[in-house]
Amino acid sequence: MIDDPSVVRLNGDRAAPSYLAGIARGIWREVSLNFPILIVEIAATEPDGTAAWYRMRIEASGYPGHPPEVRIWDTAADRALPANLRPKGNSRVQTTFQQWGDDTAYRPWDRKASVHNNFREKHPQLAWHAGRDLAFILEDLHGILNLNARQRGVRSAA
Amino acid sequence: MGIQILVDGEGLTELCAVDIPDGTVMREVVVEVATKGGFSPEEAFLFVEDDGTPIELDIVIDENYDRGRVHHVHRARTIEVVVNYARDKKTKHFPPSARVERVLIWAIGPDGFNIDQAIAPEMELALEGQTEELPGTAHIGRYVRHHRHCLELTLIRGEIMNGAES
Repeated sequence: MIDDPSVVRLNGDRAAPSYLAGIARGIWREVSLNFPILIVEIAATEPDGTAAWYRMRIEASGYPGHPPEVRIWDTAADRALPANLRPKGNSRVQTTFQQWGDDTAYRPWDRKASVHNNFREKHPQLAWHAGRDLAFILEDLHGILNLNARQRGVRSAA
Repeated sequence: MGIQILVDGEGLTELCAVDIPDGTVMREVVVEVATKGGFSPEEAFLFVEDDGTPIELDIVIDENYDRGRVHHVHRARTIEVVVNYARDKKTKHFPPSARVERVLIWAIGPDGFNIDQAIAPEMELALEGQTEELPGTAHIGRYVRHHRHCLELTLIRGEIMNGAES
């Protein structure tokens, strides 16, 4: 039997040093994988400086040829996290986790956001391509989720 | 049983994993990274991420060793970091194992350029003369070859994304 190449590649990314380093640093942790759905929690810093974790639902069908589709997630309710529970902070935080048409993470690497208003073309350095890996999007989201730490001049969560 | 050590370092473009047998001394990690980085292990130091004190290379790595740490191998013990912004520059020494994010926190803070808190979250670091943001988790030693001992960076405004109009 031939393994699904998307599964093989995703598992390769999960075993890569960059992904394992995120776990070792405590900046993200894997919750579950039921391909094509990978659930990962990412450490965050709230506007008051307290630490928090936010859960991401990463849909990886066709990976890595197709960009991953990432939503901030409420696992108990099995739906996107309601707006009032989403990360707060400066405009970069608000924009990334805003509710919009497809309601995915509003970043140029996301499957849905990338084709919205030429987002991918406007920000090619953040666009998805098959050479990217899972750690690339997790590091990007961790950076966004900890911008509040910069305002307070403290270290990022974890 | 094997143990995996995660390492960044001089001459590397990304983190690597060094798999070593239980009971190996730390020096073997240095040898492997130095080989990848293309320099002699004899003059290299081994650090824990963000820590400026080199690790003793005769430490034996066994199952009790804290593997929840990222390491760094570099021939320089400290690196002079120069950050340019708005026709001014600030200088500070960091260990090669310092993450870019740590340098950024200093650069935007009161000992650096004291950037207004409202725009501090928009700031990023790039290599001097370039515009691409450096990843916050990368160790600065990755960008410095031993003979220089100096890293010149620029403080830039990061990506400003407009909100989606759904």
